[in-house]
Amino acid sequence: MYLFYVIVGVLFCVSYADFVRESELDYDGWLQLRLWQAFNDDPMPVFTERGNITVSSVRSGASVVGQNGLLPAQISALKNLAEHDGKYRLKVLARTSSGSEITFLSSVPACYLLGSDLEDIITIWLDSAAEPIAVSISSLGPCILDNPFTNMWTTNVVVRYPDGGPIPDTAMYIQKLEREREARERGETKDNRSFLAKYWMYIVPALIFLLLSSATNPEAAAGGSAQRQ
Amino acid sequence: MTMTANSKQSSKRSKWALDFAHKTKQDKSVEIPSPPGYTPTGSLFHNVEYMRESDSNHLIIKKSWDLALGPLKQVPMNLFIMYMAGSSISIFPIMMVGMLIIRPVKALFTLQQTFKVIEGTHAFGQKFVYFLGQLVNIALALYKCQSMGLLPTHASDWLAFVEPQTRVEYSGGGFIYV
Amino acid sequence: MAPFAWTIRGNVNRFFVDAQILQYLIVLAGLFNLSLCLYEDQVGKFDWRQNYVGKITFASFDTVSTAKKIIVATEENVIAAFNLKSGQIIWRRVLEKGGHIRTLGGVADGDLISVSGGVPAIVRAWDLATGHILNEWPIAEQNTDRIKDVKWHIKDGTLHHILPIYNSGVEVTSYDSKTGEKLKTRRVSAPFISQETECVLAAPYLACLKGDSSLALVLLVHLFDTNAQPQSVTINTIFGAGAQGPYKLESVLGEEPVISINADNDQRKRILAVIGELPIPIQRDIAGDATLYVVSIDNEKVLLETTYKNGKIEIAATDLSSSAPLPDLSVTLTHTSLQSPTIMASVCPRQTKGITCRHLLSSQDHSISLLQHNKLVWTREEALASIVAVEIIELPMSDRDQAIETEFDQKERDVLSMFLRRITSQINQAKAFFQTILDLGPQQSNQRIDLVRDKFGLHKMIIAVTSAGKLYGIETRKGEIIWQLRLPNIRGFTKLSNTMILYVQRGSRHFPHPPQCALLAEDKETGEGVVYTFNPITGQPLDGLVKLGYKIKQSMLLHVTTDDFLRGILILDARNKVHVYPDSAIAVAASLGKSTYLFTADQTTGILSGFSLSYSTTQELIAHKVWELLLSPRNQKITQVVAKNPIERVHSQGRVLSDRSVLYKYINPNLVAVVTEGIGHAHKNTLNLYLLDVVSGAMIFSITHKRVRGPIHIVHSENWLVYGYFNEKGRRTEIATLELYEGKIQSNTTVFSSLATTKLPIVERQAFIFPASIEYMQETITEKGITSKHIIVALANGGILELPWMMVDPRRPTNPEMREEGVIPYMPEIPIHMDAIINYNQSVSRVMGIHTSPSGLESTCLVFVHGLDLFYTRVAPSKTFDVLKEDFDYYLIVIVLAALLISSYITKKLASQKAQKQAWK
Repeated sequence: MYLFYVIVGVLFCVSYADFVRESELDYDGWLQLRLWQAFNDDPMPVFTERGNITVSSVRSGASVVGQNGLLPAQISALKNLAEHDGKYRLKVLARTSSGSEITFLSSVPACYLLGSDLEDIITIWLDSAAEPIAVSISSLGPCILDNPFTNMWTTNVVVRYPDGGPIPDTAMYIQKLEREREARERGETKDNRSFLAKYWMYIVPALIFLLLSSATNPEAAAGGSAQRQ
Repeated sequence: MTMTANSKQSSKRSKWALDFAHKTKQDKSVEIPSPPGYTPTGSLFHNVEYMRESDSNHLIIKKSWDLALGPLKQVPMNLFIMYMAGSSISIFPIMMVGMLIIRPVKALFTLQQTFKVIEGTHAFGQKFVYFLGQLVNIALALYKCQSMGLLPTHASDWLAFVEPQTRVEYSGGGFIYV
Repeated sequence: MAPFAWTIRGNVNRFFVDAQILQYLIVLAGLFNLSLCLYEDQVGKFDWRQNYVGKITFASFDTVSTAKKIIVATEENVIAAFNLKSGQIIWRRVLEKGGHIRTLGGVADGDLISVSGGVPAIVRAWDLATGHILNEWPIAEQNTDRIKDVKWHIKDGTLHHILPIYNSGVEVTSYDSKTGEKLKTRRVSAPFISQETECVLAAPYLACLKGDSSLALVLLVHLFDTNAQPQSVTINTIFGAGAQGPYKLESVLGEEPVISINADNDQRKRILAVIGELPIPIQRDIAGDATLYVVSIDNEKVLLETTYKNGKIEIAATDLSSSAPLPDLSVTLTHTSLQSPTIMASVCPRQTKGITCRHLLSSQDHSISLLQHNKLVWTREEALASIVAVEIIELPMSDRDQAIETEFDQKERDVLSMFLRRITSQINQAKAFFQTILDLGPQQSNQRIDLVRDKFGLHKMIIAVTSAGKLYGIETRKGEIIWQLRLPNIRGFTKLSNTMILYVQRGSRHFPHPPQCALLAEDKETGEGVVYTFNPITGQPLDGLVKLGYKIKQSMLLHVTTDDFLRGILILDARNKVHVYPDSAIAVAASLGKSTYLFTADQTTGILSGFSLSYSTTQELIAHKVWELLLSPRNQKITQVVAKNPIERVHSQGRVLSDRSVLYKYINPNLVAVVTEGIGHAHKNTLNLYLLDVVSGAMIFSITHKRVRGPIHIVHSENWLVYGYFNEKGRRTEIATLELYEGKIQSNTTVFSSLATTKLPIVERQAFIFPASIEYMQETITEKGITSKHIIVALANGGILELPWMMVDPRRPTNPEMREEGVIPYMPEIPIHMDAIINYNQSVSRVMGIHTSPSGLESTCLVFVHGLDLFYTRVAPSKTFDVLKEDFDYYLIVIVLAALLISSYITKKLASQKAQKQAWK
């Protein structure tokens, strides 16, 4: 009998301040992702079911992850893959609220999964129409070939959508010009001090410097004359 | 030299004073006074010599303490120069700061020569104080450099030496042709 | 006191510059940097321009004007006049982009009328002598869906719009070609015309082919005679019995109503001439591949048949009606620059010496030649108007340098043999030296003496591949074509809008191995891939044309060379199998498998896939898919996939902030920008830009612009992107920039691995208004990447602008207090300084691409602009900091130095004399 570890209810709320600032997402909807994984060290992947992710609202990014833990055989396959510098492949079937089904393929070096104790980040990128365009797996690593502490996945789900494009900031610039003009007008009326008043901070050090250098010279001369006596 | 001569004059008042008034017959037996500047006894000479020695020792110590404390005395002046130099990067402030640094460093290098004439119990202490004073001056100058941003203490100062990262993976591709 | 105060103030001002003022000065200096203009005497010194017109579609000899010339209209929508004697362009008018000239006529009447476009058709009248437009008027099309069936005919200052109407007749509408006034409309009855009927115009007749069997009929409708009945000729009367279909009707060029009919699978053809009022079939077989032209000589009609076999051109002239050969007018010649030519226009005036014919030939390689009787007068390489791929290659070393190279390139390190070699090579050098002095030395090298590398690497070779399948080697100093060759059976990749791929497999630095370039293209017949390798300096084939036997899906150049310094080409075929060319590079390719990734982007399906070669062995290369993502074609269409220039180097790894900390650049060499344009009602006029790491398949960043439209021009370099688009809302062109930073610390200071980098970069962004329309953008590139980057922008008005990247820096501060060194405060509009137009008054049209290449000097970048015109120049983005100025006064410095030396000696002497005298005192 296989033991199935099911992690349910890992809830990650992802909200980014800048998304709120310039969100270009006009629509909200849900996403269902079914995940398949391949551990085999072979060009052709053999996919087995891993679990699924439900993003209840793409705008808030709230998601529920439900997936099986790894079996010992799978862990050893992963280790074997990592030893051969292979890649763990993940196939994702995304179903959107608009009814379309899109398949994505992503991969991560197996040793990174071992190094991070099966902690991975699944990033879902949406386009401006809230359709998923990329689902990619990544792991922070480091690249280690040891057995992981656990056989449970720790999956972080991140939903990202496009930022709004920049627009030329004309209003601010005009304001700035206005301010500068005002400042100039004010400055022109104010700055009619005398030459010394304006540049004293330069003249005084120069004078002091001159004084100092002339003051040190006689002393040295005096010392020299004394020695000659 | 002049100082020692003066002190001698003050201590041996009779040396230059000639008493012509008391010249009498009964004094005939008495020898005529020695010519000015002549001192017949050697003991006196000894005394003077001793006096002169202790005196000059004292003076040398005093003088060398002056020398040793010189750098420290310069500190307020340097502070003033630093204040006046301002923090802009232009030729005069740079020259000033350069002088502030170079002078103590030079002095440190010529430390042995400066203290060659000075011997005695205080020599080490004096040297140490002098050294310390110059260090204080250097520190001040460095502080000035730091405040002017002349010291390479930021990451940006070493940016030119950062090697580009070598790439591990190589990629190519684009639109499909068929 | 006053002057003293003034000097004090001046000195004070000069020496005690406040930090603020210094920064202003830096900014100002930066602005002055923009003024990289030329002096008048430098015009044409570093740059050259060549004008082209493209492949000609219509041509006619202007024999009525005083200055004889040739008027042509081309596929590029250009009308131009050539000098008859030299073939130089007298005038050229570049018409609207994407338009087509439908007809050109009226030259014989002394005016030039062109009809271009479709809905509405635009009729223009031109001044023949100057090319000035005299009149322009549109014709509104009634039946817009049948635009391709419309035929135009210009005769005697009248323009006829001819439209066959199914099952009814032919509608002929006449306009005054000068004023556009509608003269009359008539309908000629021709009820046999249906959708399948093939009709050609042989003015004044419309010839139609009805039926496809041996019972087929050729029907001739007189367009200007409403009463005349259509005349019919059966195929059998033309060919006699036994001709096989399908038949193809063609109008024979020339002023006469003559049509040709192809039969037997284009094996042979016969012609049908209308002489008088009667159609007369000429009972003579003409080769199916011959091109025909009818020219009238003294009211005699002469048929010119042009055939091309094995490099030999034969123009056979026969009398049209009698088929009697006219040997005086027939020409046979062989010329390398003529390949399968077609007579586009011909004129045979009678002169005192007799009849001399002039033929304007258009070759299959798009070149235009003028043939005067049997002499080639001039040839224009019009293929250069459609360059699809460019590389700029260093020239090889001179023979002497090569000899030195060979001397030190020997494997054995025996002292005696090395010494002997030294002696012999020096003897050789001495011999060569004396030979050159005595001017009797034989030229050992087969290449031109001036085609050698110069000191600064400024003299290079441009390799241009054109859509006609013709390759050119152009040297950069004067723009002279050194070699050219044509590959007849190749075409560009269909999905890449007929571009071909050119790789430099080996540069010129690996003597004695010759430099090698490889061209990837499609076979014209099978559509399978071909590789053609050649020496880019001489144009000699190396391996020749190699048919690969599979379709090429994607390709890339390996980054490691084989033992003989050759970089292999990885080719992914249509079944996702990987091959390497040449086969000898398979070991290298397999050893690089773990670090080599290839990605494909499909424009129609929107699928992007990444392949890794990590399972490859030296026996077999295996590509397996490691990532795949989908930019749904329902929402968006991929328009561009832009990677960085693979030879780019980035010198500075970060950017200094105002607090003297460093913001490290995110320099990901595997980063690719994918640009898509929205599709459908909801997403129309949106522009999406995705930054994708093609090794890990991870998306790095995405941005959406709303209410903007293309065409998008994008430059991707270092850690930044610059792209221009048209803002629908503001009705203006804008330039947006993105800049990627890793942050204040570098995660890995030594290596960059896409798989290990999971942290997303910080993206700075800004947009600017650009007061001109952009045709193309490209960044400058230099050898070490120390020189600052400029963006070369081709403007729609024909200017090439050198725009400093500093001007589009996204970190240009809007807040004046937060100023960093060398950063200009933000201004929403980028000014276009006329000084920064690097092609001054040498306007270039229809820029299709800009190729930049580093020179041997770090400061200098070579720029080659191609389109309808070619323009080459060099730019120095940070000014020429590594060379002395052209006008550097060498004499002055030598004189000053010498004077100083002499005076120091004299004073020394004088001083010693004085000292001696003093000692004696």
